[in-house]
Amino acid sequence: MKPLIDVQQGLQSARIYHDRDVFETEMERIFARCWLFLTHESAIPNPGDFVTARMGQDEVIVVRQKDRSIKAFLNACRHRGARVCPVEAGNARSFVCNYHGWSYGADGALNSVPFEKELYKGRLDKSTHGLREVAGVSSYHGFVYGCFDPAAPSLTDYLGESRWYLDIWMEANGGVELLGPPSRSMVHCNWKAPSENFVGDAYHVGWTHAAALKAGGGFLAPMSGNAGLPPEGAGVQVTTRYGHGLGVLYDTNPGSHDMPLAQDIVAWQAKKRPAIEKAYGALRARYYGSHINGSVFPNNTYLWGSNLFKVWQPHGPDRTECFTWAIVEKDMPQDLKQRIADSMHRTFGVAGYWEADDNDNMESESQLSRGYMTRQGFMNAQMGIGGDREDPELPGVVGESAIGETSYRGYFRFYQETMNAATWADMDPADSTWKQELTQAGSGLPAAATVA
Amino acid sequence: MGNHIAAPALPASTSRNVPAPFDFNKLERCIDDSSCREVERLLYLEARLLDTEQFSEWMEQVLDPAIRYVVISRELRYRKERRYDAPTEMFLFNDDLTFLKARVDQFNSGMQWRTDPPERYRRLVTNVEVFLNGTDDELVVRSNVLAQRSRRAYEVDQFICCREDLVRRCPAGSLRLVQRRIDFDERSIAGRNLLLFL
Repeated sequence: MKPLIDVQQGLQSARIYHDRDVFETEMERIFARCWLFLTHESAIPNPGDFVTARMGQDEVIVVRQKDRSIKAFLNACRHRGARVCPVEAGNARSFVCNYHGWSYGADGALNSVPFEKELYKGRLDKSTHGLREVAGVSSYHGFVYGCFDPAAPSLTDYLGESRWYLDIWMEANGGVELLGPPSRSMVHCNWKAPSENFVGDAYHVGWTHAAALKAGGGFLAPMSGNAGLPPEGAGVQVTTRYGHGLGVLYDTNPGSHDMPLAQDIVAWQAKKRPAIEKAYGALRARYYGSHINGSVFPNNTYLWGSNLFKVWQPHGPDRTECFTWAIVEKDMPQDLKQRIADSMHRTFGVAGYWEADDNDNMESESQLSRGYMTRQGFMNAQMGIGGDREDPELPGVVGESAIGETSYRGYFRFYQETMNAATWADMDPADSTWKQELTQAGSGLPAAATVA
Repeated sequence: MGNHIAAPALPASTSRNVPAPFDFNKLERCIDDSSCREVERLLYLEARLLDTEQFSEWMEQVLDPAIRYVVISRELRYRKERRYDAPTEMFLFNDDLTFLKARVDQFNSGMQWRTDPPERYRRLVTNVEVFLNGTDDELVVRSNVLAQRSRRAYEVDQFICCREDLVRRCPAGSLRLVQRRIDFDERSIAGRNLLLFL
């Protein structure tokens, strides 16, 4: 399709936030192809436990099996396509369709059909009418992802070099879990507007959230109203092979929490730091105490340090449903877990006083792209272009500052690659030309000036 | 505050100081009209102060310093679900006075870009029922609220909910809101966000 992304210039067509044909291609080439977040294992600990989830616009049921493996199925009856499970979570031995009563097992098999013998007279092959199974379900440190495409790389390979960073807060601290249930809300924006913001936008924090920073205090408060720029060396940005990305702001965990809670979290982390440093090194131990914004391509975002984990589910080019869970460390006392969850929802939940600031920007960015002339233009993600490089210590492609748009460029470079690719065979995991595309970008732009 | 008989003790609070729901079938209805009118005046005063962005005045004139303000969102489960025991509730709000003040300070900072031009609010408060809880200076109040937020040129979002309030007579003599518990009906909030006082 017509180029939507200019990797060399760091530009994105405004059409990607509006056009229906772009959206339909995304459903096929991103949401039916990539690994998508489904749930956390802690939500379905026992056989028969299930949650319902979305994969793009497809609804699925995610079920813990008798052998403790996890399977996912389309939440649609194989008879006339009605929904077989109308709830969000539970424990079930079977799923019975409300329409005619077809009944499926937790393994997806079609077990019983009312009056089968009398009405179908032996001509219905039940063995081929189980719930349609999602090709891949895999978990990484308890985070469960699903993938419709059997040709996709493994989840481990899909996360790739991002794992080095994810392991810091998913593994090195003894593991985390998601406290649910999630909050849910419908934001009137394109799904990429929030996904790109989380992947690499530390720039907006001081301005968009000026009022929240001033009123709420916390470790990030000095940025309020752009009063201060994080000093040189205050952080780093990273992007990896399949569009995942993150930004690190050193030593500012816990970011958005109120001060009494923030101090308790700092004290908690201080106890764990020495062991993490010993096992993972000083640099990664520092990341553990840092604020990390990130996205797992395409629509799964998190803030380690503000303890939120989100998925942005497309309901159309201009509607996106936000699901928000709290990230807590498994071995934290229950009281601390709950205070973190309450504080996270207070800041970044549906009634979060940070969140609504963001949503407003995401909505106007998306809605203005309805304008014919507006969407002939390009979005700009050039900040720091030309400075992206490989680093001997840090996996991925790295932007050497706390604030920049390195991860935007990596996210949209892969977006274009997958939108143009017919199959996964066109996107070799061993192909490293993506690194050169990013590190050599920006060559036609004015030379970077030295800032005194 | 009217004649009343002792009502059964309220269920114990769950963790985090979250108020438990009231069992209205077990509470005695307040039949003293002057008490009921006084409660209504408090709720209408509150609606007017909130509709007109007088948030500091709302905190001074309506809230008790011990306020606990909770809005719950509830995961959808089968009615007969018995075996799955993960929590069904999460808290969209779980605020004490400090956190409510932070939200008000955010608005008053002059840097909350999203509220400029001003958002317009209209709150309709109905179905007000007043109950006795066995404590002389307290009343339990159930009311329904429809809040409409009109924002920019095109955004009109409506939020409807049932409030379960506990009000208490403060030393100065007037009734104040001590706790508000809202178990929000709509699971996925269609109106973008709930960044308003319900």
